[in-house]
Amino acid sequence: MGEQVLDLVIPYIENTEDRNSVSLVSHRFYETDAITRKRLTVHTLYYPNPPPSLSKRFPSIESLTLKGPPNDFNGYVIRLTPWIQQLALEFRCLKELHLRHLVVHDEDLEKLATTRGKDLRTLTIKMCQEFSTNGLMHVSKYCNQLKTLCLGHSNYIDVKDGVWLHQLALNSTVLEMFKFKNTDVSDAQHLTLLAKNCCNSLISLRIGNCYLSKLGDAFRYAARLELFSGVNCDYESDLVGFQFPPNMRSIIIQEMRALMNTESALTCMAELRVMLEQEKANIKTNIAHMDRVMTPMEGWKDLKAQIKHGEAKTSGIISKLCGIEESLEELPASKRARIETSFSRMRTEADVIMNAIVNSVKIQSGDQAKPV
Amino acid sequence: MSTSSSSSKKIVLKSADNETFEIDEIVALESQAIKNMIEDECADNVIPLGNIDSKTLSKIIEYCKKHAESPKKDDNADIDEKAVEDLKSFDAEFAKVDMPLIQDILMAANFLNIDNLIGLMCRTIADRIKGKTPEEIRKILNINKNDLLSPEQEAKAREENSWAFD
Repeated sequence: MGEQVLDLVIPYIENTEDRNSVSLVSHRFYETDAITRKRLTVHTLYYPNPPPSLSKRFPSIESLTLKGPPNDFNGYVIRLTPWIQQLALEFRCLKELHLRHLVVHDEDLEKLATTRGKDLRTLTIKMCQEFSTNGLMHVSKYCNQLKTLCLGHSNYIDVKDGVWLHQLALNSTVLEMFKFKNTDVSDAQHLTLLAKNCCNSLISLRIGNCYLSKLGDAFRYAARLELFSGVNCDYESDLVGFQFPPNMRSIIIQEMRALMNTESALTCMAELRVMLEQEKANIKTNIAHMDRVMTPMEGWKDLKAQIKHGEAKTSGIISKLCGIEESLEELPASKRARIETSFSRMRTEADVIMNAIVNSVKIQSGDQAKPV
Repeated sequence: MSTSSSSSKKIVLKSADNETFEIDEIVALESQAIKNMIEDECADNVIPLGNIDSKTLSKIIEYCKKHAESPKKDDNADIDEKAVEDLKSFDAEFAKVDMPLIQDILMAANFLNIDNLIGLMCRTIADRIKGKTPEEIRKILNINKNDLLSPEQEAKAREENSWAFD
């Protein structure tokens, strides 16, 4: 009985340790596990060369993850090349390949792309080194069924040119997730073409530095897009009326917060400017006002109102100053510097005006205190 | 086991040990295999299930009744959370039986083609062998000792298994 239920249960046993235990139960279990194992993770530090019988034991592997030693591991590096040699000959069911911390040469990517490329649905390359956009060019050319292409941001990708991205855009029609942090600014037109050709599939786009204002067309094409992240290099003024696709669930734009802070600091400063100008005018009229002769009762009443008034005005100015200061604190240094000089001038001016307000109240109260 | 409502059409199932179960057709339709039989009109009044004993069959009918009564997801997009939770806790309780019966139910559910029940039994078995040693799995599933790997085969399998870990 146990043997018969295994065929039904085996897809539900996903954990590798459990799979390994199951494989040791009996001949039947060993066989069933072997032919149904779809995912495999290998630590290449222990197997820099693929074990020769690996694909005999697990002939149905669809997803292979190859992990190398972490960057700070005594300078130890593992090359992907011997693995690619075997991948090219065997692993005929391979649909997903995940590479981490490996030395990947352009030739490896070429061999992978020309042998397994047409069947690959997912390719992720994270924290790998040595390869350049020349290698990615082969991926673009041959892996045209890719749904996920993820080139992690810690890669040391040597960006030789953007032709590979153009090629990827030309050949892809089913790409759902694309991540490439080393985007070059001039890539906007390739990304637009990519968005156009993958308009029915593209859901997630994560790129590096970009000018959002140049990606307007890309966002218009990518109607199904739900997730975007990027580092925007535009000034806020370039983004007036900018629109994302309707289904967005997550937008992560670095610098965007800086833009918002800049904007709020500038608005705040403009409002403060208006207040200060008003007060300058008021101070003149106040002095004129003080020259008027008043009865004591009238004077005291007026004085009370003046004190209240003065208090409201100064606290209004102080809260504006604090608001600006807060916004400035969160800005990156480069943007802060642009605003800081005019802000410090305003701060001095505000001090002078607040003093004037206080003084005018003081003078009045002094006047009132004198016997008429 | 028989049902009380008399308004709807009845189906009679007969177990391997010749016990008969009269159930509402709607309950029987939870089984894709019986559904096909009824649709093809090759089901007489009594459907004999020669490979399912009465203990297993009565459990399966209990499951089908509950699931037939519960609102289906496709019927109504916003069925209330309570019904979903209710069905979940029913399933959890239902699976609290010993391993031989679970395996019988799984094989019968597979024969009768009841998708949800197959899934429930498979998840239950997978859960019970989670984190267990090969020897423990043998005990849990009552594996025939004639089919064990030889020491050499086991050593080879262990060596191969060391390729794979997360």
